[in-house]
Amino acid sequence: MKKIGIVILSFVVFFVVLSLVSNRTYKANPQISAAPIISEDGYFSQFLMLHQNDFLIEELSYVIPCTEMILEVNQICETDSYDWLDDNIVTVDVHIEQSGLYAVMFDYTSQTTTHLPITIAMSVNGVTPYYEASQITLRTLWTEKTFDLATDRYGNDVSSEQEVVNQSQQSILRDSEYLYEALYIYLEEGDNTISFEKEYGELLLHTISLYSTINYPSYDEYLSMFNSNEPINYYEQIQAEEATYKNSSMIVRGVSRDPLVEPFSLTKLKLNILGTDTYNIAGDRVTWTPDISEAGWYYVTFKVKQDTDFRTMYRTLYVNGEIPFEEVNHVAFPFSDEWHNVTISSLDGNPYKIYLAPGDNLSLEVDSTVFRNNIDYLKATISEISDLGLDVIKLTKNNTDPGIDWDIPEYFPTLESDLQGWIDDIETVISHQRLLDGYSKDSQIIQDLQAAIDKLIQIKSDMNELPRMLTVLSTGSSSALQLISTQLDALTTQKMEMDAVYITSIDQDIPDPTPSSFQSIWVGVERFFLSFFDSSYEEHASEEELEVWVNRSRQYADVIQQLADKQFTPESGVKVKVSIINNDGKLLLANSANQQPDVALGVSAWIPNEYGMRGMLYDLTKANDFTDTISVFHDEQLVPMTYNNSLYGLPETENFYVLFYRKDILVDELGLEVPNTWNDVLDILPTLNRYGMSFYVPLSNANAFKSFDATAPFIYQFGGEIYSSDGFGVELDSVESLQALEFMTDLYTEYGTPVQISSFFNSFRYGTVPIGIGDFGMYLQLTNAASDIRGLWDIALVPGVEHEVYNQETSSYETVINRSMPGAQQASVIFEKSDKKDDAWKFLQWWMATDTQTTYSETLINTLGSRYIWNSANVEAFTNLRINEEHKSVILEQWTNLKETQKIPGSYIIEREISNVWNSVVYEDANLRSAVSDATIKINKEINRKMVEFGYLDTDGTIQKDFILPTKQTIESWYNDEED
Amino acid sequence: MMKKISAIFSPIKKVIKREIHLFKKDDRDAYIFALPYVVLFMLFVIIPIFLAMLLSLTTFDMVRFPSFIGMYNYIYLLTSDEEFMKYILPNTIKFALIVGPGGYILSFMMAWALSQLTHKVRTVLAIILYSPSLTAGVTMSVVWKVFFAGDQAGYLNNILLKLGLIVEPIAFLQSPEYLFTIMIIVALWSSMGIGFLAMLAGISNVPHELYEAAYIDGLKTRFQEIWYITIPSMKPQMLFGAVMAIVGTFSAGAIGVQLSGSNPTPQYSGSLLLNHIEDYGFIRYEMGYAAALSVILLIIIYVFSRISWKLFGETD
Repeated sequence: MKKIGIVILSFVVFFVVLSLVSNRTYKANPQISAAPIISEDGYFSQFLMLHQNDFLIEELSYVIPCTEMILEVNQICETDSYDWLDDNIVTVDVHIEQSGLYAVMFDYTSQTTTHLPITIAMSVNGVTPYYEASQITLRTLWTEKTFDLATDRYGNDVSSEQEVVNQSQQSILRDSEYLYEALYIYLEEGDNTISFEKEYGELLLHTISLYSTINYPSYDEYLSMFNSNEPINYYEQIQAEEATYKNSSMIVRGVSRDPLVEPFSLTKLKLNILGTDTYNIAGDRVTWTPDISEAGWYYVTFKVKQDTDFRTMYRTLYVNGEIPFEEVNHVAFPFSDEWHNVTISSLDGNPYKIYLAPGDNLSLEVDSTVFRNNIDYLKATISEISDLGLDVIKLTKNNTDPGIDWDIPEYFPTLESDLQGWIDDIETVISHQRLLDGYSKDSQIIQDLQAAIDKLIQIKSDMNELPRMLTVLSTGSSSALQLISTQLDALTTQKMEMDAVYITSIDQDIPDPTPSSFQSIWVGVERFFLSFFDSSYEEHASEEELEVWVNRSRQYADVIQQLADKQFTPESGVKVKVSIINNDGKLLLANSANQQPDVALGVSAWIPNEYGMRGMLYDLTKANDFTDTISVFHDEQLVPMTYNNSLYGLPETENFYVLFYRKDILVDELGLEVPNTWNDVLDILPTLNRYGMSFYVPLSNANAFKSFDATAPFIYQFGGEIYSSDGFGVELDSVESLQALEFMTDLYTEYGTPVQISSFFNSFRYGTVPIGIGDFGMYLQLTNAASDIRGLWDIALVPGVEHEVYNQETSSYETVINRSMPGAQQASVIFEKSDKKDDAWKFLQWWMATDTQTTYSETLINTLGSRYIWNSANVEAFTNLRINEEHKSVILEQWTNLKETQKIPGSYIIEREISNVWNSVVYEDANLRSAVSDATIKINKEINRKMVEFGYLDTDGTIQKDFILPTKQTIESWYNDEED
Repeated sequence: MMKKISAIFSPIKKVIKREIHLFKKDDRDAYIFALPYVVLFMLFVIIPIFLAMLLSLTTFDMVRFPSFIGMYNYIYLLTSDEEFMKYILPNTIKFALIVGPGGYILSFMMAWALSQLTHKVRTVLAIILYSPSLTAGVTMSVVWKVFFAGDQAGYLNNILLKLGLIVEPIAFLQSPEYLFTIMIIVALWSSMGIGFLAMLAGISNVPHELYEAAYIDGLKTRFQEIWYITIPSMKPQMLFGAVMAIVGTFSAGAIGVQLSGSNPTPQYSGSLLLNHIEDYGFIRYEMGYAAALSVILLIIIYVFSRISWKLFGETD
């Protein structure tokens, strides 16, 4: 009895504590506070410092209609607007009456249908006044085609397609990070020329205007501006996710399953909120239109979940695209673990009345301008610390020997004051950030900055140990440098989910957004029991549906299903059911059990060949319009999927290998050139080694097994071949192949490249491996997860081997660099046992078509964010991809050097033995030639055995039928056969 | 002739008759109680083993229908599978002989040492020692791969470099000379499995009176205590531990592959029989041969567990 009592008591205590903890409330007392401006050369901050006395008090404005703009030849202004399609220059001549600072405003209608904003570079009298002026962005307005969301076959909401809103906007030109309210330019009295060069996007330009001052009334002035009474009894709730428009297609709905979030469903996923991983970057703006019928003073309240501990998020309120009064420039949203209501009010909590007339709209924009100076401080500190880190490496050559006594102050006389300066700077940032957040406790950002200060103090206390404390200063994941640079992103990302907007009169109450703990528990219990009955995911495809298995995550598969339902099914009349598998090895087992799908997408590139040769897959060369469909690929892409003159799969995504290098370290610090050939690499290796750095080749990866992707490129680049021409053996002992193998092992045994680099990505970030060959995955990581080195790296073609090649056209020898690299990544296949091969083929034709691939790639980015780059194997679709144009051209050029290793029965043994040869030479100092000849015997024996299994040889080794080793020529011959 | 046949069959008939009689009389409930186990055991153990044996007589690539080739797979295994004879079999036996008895003795020693402690401390330490075998799969990549990583970031390399024992990092997990040793270390670390728990239970179940009586009879050292009292009194647990150790070590295959990140391991230096089966089954798609290999594995395990029966089995 006593025990039961204790148990019950402890449960009660537990729940009480839980509810106390979960309902903790802290009083926010935020204040707008900014550190003194620091100026950085060439940036707007410096410009502002120089011109801080040039702000004009008089309100002057100049409006230049499109008819008065100077356009390029053949460009005209039609019906009051200029259809700015091509990337060219628009120039404005304006006669200024008073010297001073002016802000520029564009009145335009965006016609851009991609997720990227319009980019414009501005110059004044032929000069770019500061860096930010070359990176001005203009947003496009997007809306959902319909708010009545469709549901997928499981009853979950499917996001609606987005479209561009054809509406003009008046935008003051701002920096691309939206840290300044406006970019001012200094114009002298008299004639001035301002020119705008468009770099990306399409728009209709109506007018360009110049304003001398941008002033907003104060709240008191605002109150006296409208003579209106307060309506009574008004209550309106707008679903936040049903926005009139938003200024980025990346702002999309999210799912919240919390009780009281509307619309609510117990079992289904509803797209019912805004701001899950979106709508958190400065400049993101969403607009709603209240349905009021009476003009007057209203209160505006947002139902939000802003649950970042001890942080206050800032937003700017606009009415009809303009800030109504000064105070709503920075509206504070305090944090809470639960959903809570925030009424637009002053920082000390007095709600503001907002004047709204029928038809007016309200916008809320993510506001990071309050963090501007903090960000500048951190940026300056980061670049100085990373310079110091590199200088130390240059001094010590990365030698961490504890026996050396360094006299660091002799080499870095200003070190102590530098360290103190950084500590002071970070402390300044912390003190202002504390005021901005307004909590008695510290947010994660402040805690991390504090930790960074501790590290700097640690270094300062024993400066002579600095060479051995680089992991504390600048390299490594917990170094001061990393701690500070991750805060940069954290600061500007202002996460806040939104469920509803309320427009009310003063006498109306807004429903409590926080569910009681009983409600939450009850919903949990209901969901738990309902989960036993939810069978929606188990359904098999019905008889008439085409079953497609996708070896990718749910997000990818959902979009395929949507596209198929929307485009493919209406066109072809074939219904498609997309299901997810999490391992393509299951296909073989499914096939043996007669449970196979009709089509599988996203399977590894080795599967088509391996399963095709065993008769499991459908030979695509037999299909209709086969050559038309494959013409979107490079011939070489098809080689690894070809077996015995049959094609068993289509490439779906394509990997690429390119050379990644750190511009700051390799070029600026060490003064090295980006290598073009392997000889160039050998030339820079001693310098790199001297500084304790190295070059990464995929051979150095942490995996003991060196796949063809790591080994074969060397053999091809040196001009060697892997297979003998009849395909019944290998040619590893040819002069070229031996040269390649020797080079591969010499890199490690002679030139001192480290045999293993666990993570190229991390080593690259920390600067220990500033150059190396990486693939698509590395590219994705660098573009999305390495904000600390953003802009400090670049890509180039992989180094190759020079060959003298006879050119018949010029009848002379010329030097060609062989940069062969593989790229096969994922493929799509049709199953031989499928009874819907024609439909399946139609599906594949549709799926790999350029239009579908382009749409898919853009839908992914638009609905899921820029991390979802689709590296389509369809080269044209990849060309349409919106990534950095220079990077794209490098990748596309590298793709012209594609060289894939063919797959034959038993090719695994070649891969394995080449890996073993490398391994035994590098680790056991074996003799290369004897290792190769041993390997050749093993390989030939195994290939013979496999060839017997497949009936090309009999057990005596006599050839029964010819084996066709697929090459580019095999693929070309398919086209020729078609013509004949 | 007939006589001969009936001479053979009559005892069988007798047995069946007796069984039917017994079944009717009172064994029925026992059979019904055993039925679920028997059905599941048949379904998941006996039938698969039988099918594997059948499959080992065929060539089968999982797509086309198996074709019968008689004993060819076994002949190939004994005569032509170079890797099997050169690397796989020696590796497997070496691994089993070191890790099996090694881990077994270690388990016993640990169990005995723990049993000397007070109840609470013992429970905590037992959980600590047992947990590696529970979490081995996960910790393998998280802990050991980082510990033995081949660059400066690897813990062991870092320590050795700091101590000045080596000049450049050693690629422990790629280099054939280190991989096998590391596999053994890791396997021993995680060998405190279910056998260890059984032994711990066994030791604490030995009645105290036995020790006291033995001391009166002239026992002098703790070692004698273990040898004459503890081990003989816990034979069933010792047997259980031994069988678990044998099965565990022979069917361990994941270690080398997980550590080196590839199957086969570099130059087959850490490849065990189980890896070889996977190599043939899922890389070369020769299920028939893989089945033959697994039959061999079964036989090896059976032989070794017979030996441990001989050592620890109850004679009565």
